[in-house]
Amino acid sequence: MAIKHILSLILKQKSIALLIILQIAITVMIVSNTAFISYATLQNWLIPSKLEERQILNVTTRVFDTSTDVPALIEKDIQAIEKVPGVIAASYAGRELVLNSLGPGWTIFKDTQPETDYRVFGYFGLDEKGADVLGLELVEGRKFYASEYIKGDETTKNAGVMMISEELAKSLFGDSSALGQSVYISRQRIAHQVIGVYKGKMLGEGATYSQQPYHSGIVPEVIWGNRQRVNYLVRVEAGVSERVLEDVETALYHTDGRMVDRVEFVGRAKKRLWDGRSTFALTMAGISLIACVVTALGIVALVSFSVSLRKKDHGILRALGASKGQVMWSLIKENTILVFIGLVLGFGLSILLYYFLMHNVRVQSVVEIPLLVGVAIFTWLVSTLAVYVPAKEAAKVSPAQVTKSS
Amino acid sequence: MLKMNEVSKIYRTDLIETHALSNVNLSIDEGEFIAVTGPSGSGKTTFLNIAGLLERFERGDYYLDGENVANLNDKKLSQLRNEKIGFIFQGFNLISDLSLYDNVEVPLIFRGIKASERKKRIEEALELVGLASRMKHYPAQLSGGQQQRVAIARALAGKPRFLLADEPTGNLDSLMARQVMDLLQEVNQAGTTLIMVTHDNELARRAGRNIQILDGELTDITKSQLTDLAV
Repeated sequence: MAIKHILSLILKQKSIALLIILQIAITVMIVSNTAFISYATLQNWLIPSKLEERQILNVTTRVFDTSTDVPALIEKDIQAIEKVPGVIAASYAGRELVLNSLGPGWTIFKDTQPETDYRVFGYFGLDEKGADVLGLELVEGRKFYASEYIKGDETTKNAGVMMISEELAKSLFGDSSALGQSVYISRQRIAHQVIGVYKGKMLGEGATYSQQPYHSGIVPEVIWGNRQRVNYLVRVEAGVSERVLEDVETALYHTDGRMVDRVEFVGRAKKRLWDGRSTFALTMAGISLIACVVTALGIVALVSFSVSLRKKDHGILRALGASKGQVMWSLIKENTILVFIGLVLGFGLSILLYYFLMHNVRVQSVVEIPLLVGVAIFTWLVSTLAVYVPAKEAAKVSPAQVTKSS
Repeated sequence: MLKMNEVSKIYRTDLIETHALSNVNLSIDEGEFIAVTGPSGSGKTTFLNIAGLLERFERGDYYLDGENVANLNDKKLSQLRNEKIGFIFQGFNLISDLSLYDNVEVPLIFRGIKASERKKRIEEALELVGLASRMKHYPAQLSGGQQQRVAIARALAGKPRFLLADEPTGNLDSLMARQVMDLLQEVNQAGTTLIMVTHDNELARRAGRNIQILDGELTDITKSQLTDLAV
């Protein structure tokens, strides 16, 4: 049948058509957004850390004896680590590389005006060796002076100076130099002066999660406060065997009042992080699958109902010379028209949901046209498969039986 | 033009077999007007369905324009049905959700006729049955007689070789029935072969040739036999 005939039939069965359109639209909304979220999540997987992942170790320890002399422990640990064969240098690290998540105050402003836009960023406290252990490469400015480092358990102190990544500098100051500029951290707007700009590295998960992987800053602070965590970064020689992990752990093992949680290459930490992301993406794909199955079943039910209502019409078409294939094809065309309307509506709803999620839920997502095209093709295929069974039944209607009745 | 040799149709259930048609032999020439009569359940409609390729048969050969249709597949049968046969049913069998114009157009689309040619044929056919002015109306807006005329227009628009009519006036009052019958006779006189199943002896008398079906067996009869045998 021609499109105009199919449209006439659709208009005569508005309720069924509307239900199918809504089902398609809601599915497209769900599948598109799960696809956007999964894509954005997996895309982060591909972001290079720009860290030498096989030459830097994350060492995390926990001090459970409150009477421990932490500065002495740090000094002793660093000496012990640096004696391990294959180790080049060790540094205290306030937070874990890569795995570190952002807190709500991890924001940076370029002034103190209340309405100023902020950037989400990750910042890390390192000691004098930290920059070398990380392999920071300055593009502007200088490293910290020895006098600028502050150490201790007093969490209210701050160094007042910091280095920031090149990407963060550009984001805050555009083409102007960031050197000497003041930046303000967290809602308390704690002032720091930029003394250096380094080539970006993916340092913490939180910034990556905010799709700002190279927005980071480093402060000359070794402040452990009342936290139990005492972490280290260790640079090892290129090509060193995994035995170095065991050796570092052994070097730290014999200290009372403290336990070693983890010694691992940064690459391993990153992989674990991304493994979690892929599981999340898989969960999103599962949600999409459920939405598609529900839609497919709904379409089967609705089209079956519609076919049963129009059984006589299909028999008449067969009597008038339509082959089984032509009857099936007319139903598939009808479904395609409904899918098309559902897709248009669904894309609108998808964008609305996308903006809702971006503004109300802390979720990483990205609208990608190829993904929308993929979702459209996938939805059409699923719905066509769903129509196939009732369409086949419709084509089986015996014209002799149907036309016999008066 | 239409030839059946020993055609039989059997309906089977788990328990019984019903011989709807037994060894039917028939030859129909182009332009004939044949009335098929017989009591209810004698096999008239089965005969018409087989002649119209709506049903398959178990045994025998059926030649339509010289082509044996016994073993043709669904696609080929549908194509033959669409190109060579026009149907007129007792219950009209129009698609209620389509306008008169669209109802007439549907079989032409299946045949792949171009839009301009379709338009010409539809207008001519509806003009012939006197409903050209109502082509945008829907079947429910017409009387029974008008609906049957639309069904005739739908059949004629395809310029079929055969017109198969199953009790075409069965649902109509006598005036409407006469009008429809006059129309069918005109079509036949214009050269279309007409095979009509009917209970009505008066209508059957208008045919050039009469066939009676009794218990699935088909025989040629004269008009005088028609009166005696019809039930």
